[in-house]
Amino acid sequence: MPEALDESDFRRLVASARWGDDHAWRTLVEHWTPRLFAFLHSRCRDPELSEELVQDVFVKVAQRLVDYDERGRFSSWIMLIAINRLRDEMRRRKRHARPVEHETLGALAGSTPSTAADAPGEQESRRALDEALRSLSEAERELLHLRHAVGLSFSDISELLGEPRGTLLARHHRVLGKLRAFLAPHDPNNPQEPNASSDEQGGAV
Amino acid sequence: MASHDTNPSTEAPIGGFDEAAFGDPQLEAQLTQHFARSADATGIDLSALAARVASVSAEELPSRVFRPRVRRFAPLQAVAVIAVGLVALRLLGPSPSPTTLDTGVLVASPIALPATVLADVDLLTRDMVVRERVISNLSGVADFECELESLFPEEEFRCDS
Repeated sequence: MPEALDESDFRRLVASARWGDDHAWRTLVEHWTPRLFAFLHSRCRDPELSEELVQDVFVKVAQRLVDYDERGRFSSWIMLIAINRLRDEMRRRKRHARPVEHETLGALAGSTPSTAADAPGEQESRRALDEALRSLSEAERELLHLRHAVGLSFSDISELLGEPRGTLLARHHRVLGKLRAFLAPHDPNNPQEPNASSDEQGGAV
Repeated sequence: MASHDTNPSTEAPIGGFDEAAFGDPQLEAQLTQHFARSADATGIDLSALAARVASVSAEELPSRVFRPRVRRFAPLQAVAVIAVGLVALRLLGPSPSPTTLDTGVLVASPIALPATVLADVDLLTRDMVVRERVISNLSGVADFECELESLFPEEEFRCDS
């Protein structure tokens, strides 16, 4: 597993990679690849596209490394490149996609594949969480992905999205409340009936 | 495939906001696990992906992109830099004695050429002066042509006399 790195490590590694230190560059790539993949996959739900985009992002980062302003956070910078690359690709696909492909991106978005190791109760719990996530707005899901799929701090997200940290904390708190409310009927310890209207919700998870 | 550690980092309260007060550790852990499992379930080997990506993208690093270009153009650049440097030294360098005309206009000093070049120039100048005097003393066209023939035997002048 890649070691835990922070912003000071990123600055040091970027400076070394600029001067041709392959080890520094490999360390950055190994650290960020799983995070970028998790984020991109959570947004587009297409493993192959996510792989392709991860590579694109690193090529762009390498190309722009010479212009990178070290005063900013590397986490925010690389995620901004990833988000922009994903948006470009989604726009391109939307322009050229057949209807079924567009539908696939949205409709299949909620279905997290089950693994053989999943217990029946766990599968139900994950399915409920998928549905709960689909009930959220795009901005709310993006916040959760950045925070919990990538592991960014609220300061990173604040710089990335250009929104005050306090606003993001409040939004995150509100989103967690929505999820709790959505998941409560699915909780086996909760005596209430499961929420029958959840199938009406849609959107990428 | 091992999932990466994406436990969100918590920060010290900034501007009066305490993250712990806005959180729900149990639900947040559930979300982190949910996204990690979702990525794991794709079956993509992220270690292999990272190795491949590192190799491909490393070719675009500034050190790889600029070095070959510098190597390729180094001889040409060196010649150009030396030439420009020499000209700059000649134009901007210390001149022996700037000359001022009576009108007060500052004019450039003559270029100091090497002695061998000056000697050649001197010989050429003297030769031209001699030829010019000979030609100016001619009395007619025939004499002129004959003289030209003697002065410039390599050229096709015909002396009719």
